[in-house]
Amino acid sequence: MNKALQIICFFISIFSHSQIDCTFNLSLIDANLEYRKIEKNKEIHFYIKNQHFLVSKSSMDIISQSDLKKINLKTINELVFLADKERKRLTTDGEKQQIITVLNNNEIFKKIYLYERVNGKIIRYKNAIWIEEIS
Amino acid sequence: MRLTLFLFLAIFITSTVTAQLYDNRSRYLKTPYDVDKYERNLNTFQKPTRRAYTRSTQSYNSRRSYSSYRNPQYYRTNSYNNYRSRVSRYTIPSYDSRGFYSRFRDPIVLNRYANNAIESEFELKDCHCNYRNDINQAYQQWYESQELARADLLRNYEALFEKKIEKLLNKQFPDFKSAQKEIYNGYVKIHDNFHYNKISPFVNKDYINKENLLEKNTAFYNVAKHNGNNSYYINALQREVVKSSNAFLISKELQNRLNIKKLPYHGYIVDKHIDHYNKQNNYEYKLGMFNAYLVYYQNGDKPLIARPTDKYSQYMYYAYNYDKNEVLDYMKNIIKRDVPLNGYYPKLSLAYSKAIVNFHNMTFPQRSITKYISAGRWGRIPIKVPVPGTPLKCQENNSIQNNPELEGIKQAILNKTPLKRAVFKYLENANDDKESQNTVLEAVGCRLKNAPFTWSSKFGHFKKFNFQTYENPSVVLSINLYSYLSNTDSAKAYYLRVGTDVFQKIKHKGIADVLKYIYDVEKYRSVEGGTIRHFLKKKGLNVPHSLSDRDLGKLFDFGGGNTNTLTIEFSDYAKKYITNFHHGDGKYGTSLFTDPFKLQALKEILDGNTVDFDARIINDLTGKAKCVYDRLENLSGGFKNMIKKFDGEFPVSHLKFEMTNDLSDDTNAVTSNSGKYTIAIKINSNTIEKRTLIGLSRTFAHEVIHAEIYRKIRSVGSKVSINDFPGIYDYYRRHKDWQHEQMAAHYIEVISDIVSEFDNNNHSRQFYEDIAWEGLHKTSSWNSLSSNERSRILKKIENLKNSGNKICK
Repeated sequence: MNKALQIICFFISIFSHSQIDCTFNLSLIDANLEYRKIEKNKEIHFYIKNQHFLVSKSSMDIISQSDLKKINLKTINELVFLADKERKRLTTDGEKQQIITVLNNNEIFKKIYLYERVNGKIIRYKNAIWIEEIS
Repeated sequence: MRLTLFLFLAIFITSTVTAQLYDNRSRYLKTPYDVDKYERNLNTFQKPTRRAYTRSTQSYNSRRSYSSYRNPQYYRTNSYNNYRSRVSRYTIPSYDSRGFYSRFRDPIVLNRYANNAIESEFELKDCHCNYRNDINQAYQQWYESQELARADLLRNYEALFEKKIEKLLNKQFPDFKSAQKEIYNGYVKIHDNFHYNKISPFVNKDYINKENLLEKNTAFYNVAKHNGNNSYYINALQREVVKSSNAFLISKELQNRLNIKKLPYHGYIVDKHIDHYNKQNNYEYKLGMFNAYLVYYQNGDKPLIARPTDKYSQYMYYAYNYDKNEVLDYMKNIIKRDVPLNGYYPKLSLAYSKAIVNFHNMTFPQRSITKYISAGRWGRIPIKVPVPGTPLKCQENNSIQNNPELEGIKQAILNKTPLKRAVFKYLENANDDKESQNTVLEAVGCRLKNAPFTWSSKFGHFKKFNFQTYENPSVVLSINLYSYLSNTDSAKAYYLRVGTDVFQKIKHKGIADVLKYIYDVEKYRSVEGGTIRHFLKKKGLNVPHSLSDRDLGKLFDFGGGNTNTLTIEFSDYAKKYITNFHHGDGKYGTSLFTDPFKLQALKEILDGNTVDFDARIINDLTGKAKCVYDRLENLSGGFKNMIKKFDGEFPVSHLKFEMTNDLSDDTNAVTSNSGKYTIAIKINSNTIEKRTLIGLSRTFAHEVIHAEIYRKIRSVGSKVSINDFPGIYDYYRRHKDWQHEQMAAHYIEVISDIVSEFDNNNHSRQFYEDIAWEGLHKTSSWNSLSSNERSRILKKIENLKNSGNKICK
C-alpha cells in the first residue's frame, strides 16, 4: 500500500464529555505537509495539520469495517473547532468572576481515539494525547 | 530267498559301516583337546586356605627368616602356591604344539577360521588361541620398525624445516631445535600484546600479595618487639620479614619491568610451544602445525592473508591458560640476579602495625562458654571454649576455625590496595575496637554477597547530621562521627543530669573511605545505591522508588575521607552534569527527593543531560544549538535576566531544552506544555545547520517567552485572574492565537534586546526589531504594520537567512 492511500484512510475519532465523535479525512489535502507519523520506541507521534498527537503502541487494536461505520467520525477542523468552542464557553463563564480557565489541548476531551487504515485493516489507537504545543 | 536277503542286507550293512568308519578315521584317530579337563578335575583341587605366619609362643628367636619359608618342608603339595601353579596350567593358555597341530589339522575348524566366520558362530571352547604370544611378538616387532621409520621420516622433515627456517631468517642453525626455538621466539613476539595482557594480572597480583605479606610480617614483628615477646619468637618473625622483603623486592622489580613492558616471559612461552610440539604424537598434525607456525610467522599474524587450513592450525598451541606460578617462577629466576636485596622494610608506625595485626587476627563475633575437663588428681578444671556469637548481617558461616567466608572477606580487602589502606587507617583510628572490626566485616561481607550494608544499629548513635546546606550543596547528607553516643552513655548523661556532649566520642572515624572504596567500581552501583537509600532512610529521608538503587549509586557516592565526617554526596559523574547545585528555593536536602522537578532533574542527569537546579533548567541541547544557548546564558546573567527584561520578575522554571527531529522544515522550534513537571523547548535538529546564529538566538528568545507564559498559567493552576496576569487574561479572551498576539504587541522590543546583546550590537536597532518579527506574521499587530514596513522586515529576515553567520564557536 502506498503512502497516499494510507493517508487517505486516516481518521480520528473523539469521545468527549458530551459524547462528540469526529472524523478527519486527509484525502483532499497535501499529505506531505499536513500529516506525519513518527515512531519512537514504544510511542507513535502523529502530526496532523500542525496538531500533535501521541499514542502508545501498546494501546492499539484492530477493528472491523462494520464497527468503524457505527462511529460518527469527525474531521480535524471540527476537532479544533470543538476545542475552541469549549474554550470560548469556559471563557464566557469565567468572565463573570473575572477568572478564566485556560485549557491545554490535552484537557479538553476525555478520550481521543485515532483510527488508521493500513493495508486494508483499521487500526485503532486508544487514549491518544493531544499535545499542547506552540511554535 | 530269506537267506539271500539276509546275506545281502548283512553285507550291505557291514560294507556301509566299514566305509563310514574308514571315511571318519581321522575323527577317531586324532586326539581331541580335553576342554573339560579342568572342570572335570575341579573337585580334586581344593583351594587351600592361605596360612598366615604366627609367632611361636615359646620364644621370639624361634621366628624364622624369610628364606626359611622357601624350605621344601613348608612347600607342601597342598600349599596355596602349588594350587596356583596347578590351576594356572589350565587357566592360562600356553604354547602347546601338539594340541595346536592336532586341532588345526581338522579341515572344518581350519575352514572356519580361514573363511572369517562371523563372531557369533564361534564357540569359545573351539578357539584355542595359542598364537597369542607369537602375534604380540610380531606386532611388537612391526610396531618398532614403524616407529623407526616414523622417526626417520620426522628427522627428514625437520631437516627440511630447518633449511626453510634458515632461508626465512637468513641465518644458519646447528640443528632443527635451535631453528625451531628461533622461530617460536619470533612467533611469540608477534603476539606480545596478547601475552602481556595475559601475564600482567599475574604480576600485579603477585606484587600485591608480596607487599601484603611483607606488611603483615613487619607489623607482627613491630608489635612483638614493642610487647617484649621472647627473643626466639622475635628472631623468627625477623627472619620472616627478611624472607618476605626479598620476595617483595623481586616482585617489585617484576612490577617495574611490567610498567616498561620488559617482562622476560618470552622464553617461558617458547618452552611451552616446544613442549607442545614434542608432545604431538600424530606426525601429520605435528608437521602441519609447525608449518602453520611458519606461515603465521611470515604473515605476521595479519588477517586476510593465506593461512594454513584449520585442520592444522587448530593444533597450534594457544597459550590461553598459563600456569601462573610457573610463569612467575620463570621470570623471577631470570631477574633475581639483577635485584639488589638491600633489606628493604616498610616503615610502619606502631599504631598502624597494631591495626594490621588486628586486621589479621579479627574474627566473626565469638563468645566463650565454660567447659569442665577431667584433670586427674586435680579433679575437673574449667576452661573457656570459644563458640560463635550473634552472626553479623550477611554472615552465613559460623565456624570458629578456618572460616572460608571470613578469609574471603580479608582477602577481598587485601586484594584492593586503596580499600586495604582505608581499612587499616580505620582500624588504626578505632584502636582495637571490636565494633569497628565487625563494621568492616559486615560492610565488605555484604558487598561480597551483593546486599546493601544496613548498618542500622549504629545510625541511631550518631546524633548530629545535616542534609544539604547552602555552603556545601553537593553534599546530600553529612553525619558527624564525633557525635556517637551509645544508649548506655545517654542513660548515664540523664542520670548524672549533664549534657550528652560530655559522653560523645569519636567512633568510626575513616569509615567514609572504607565505604567509598568498597563501592568504587561501576558494577557495584546497585548495592551502593541500596546502602545509600538505607542510610538516608535512617535519617528520615525517603528516596522514592522511581529512582532505582542503581540510579542512586550512579548519582551519589560516599565521601568524607579519613575524617570525622561521613557524607553522601553527588558523584563525580553527576557533578559533570550539574551546572548549579543550588536549588534556589532555600529548601535543601529533603526537597531533592520530593520536588517533582528535582526528581526529574536527577533522572535527566542519569541520561547525561545538563541540569541547573537554581534556574530549574534541564539542558539536552547539542552542537550549534548548545553553543548558542551557552552564549545566551553568559549574557549579563543568562536567561534569568533575559526574562526579567520583559516581565520584571524571575523565573522561567521547570524548563527543558532538547533537540528534536520530529518537526517539519518550516518549524524552527516548538514549546510543549504537556510535560508533567517541565515545559520543553524543542529545537528542530533537521534545520539547525541552515540556521543563522542570530536567527537561533531569536528562536530561543521567542520560545522562552512562550515557556514563561505557560509557567505563569501553571502557577495559578490554569485559573487566570484579571488581577494576576491581566495581559494573559485579556489576550486569551480576545484571540485564538493569543500567545503570538501578545508577543507581537508587547515583546518585540524584549526579543530585539536579547538578540542585539547576543550579536554585540553589530547591527542597527531597527535590524534587531525587524528580525524579532519572525514567527509573528499571522498576528493582528503584523497586519497593522504598513506594507512598506512589512516588506522591509521580510527582506531583512530573508537576507539574514541567506548571508548571516551560521557557525558558532
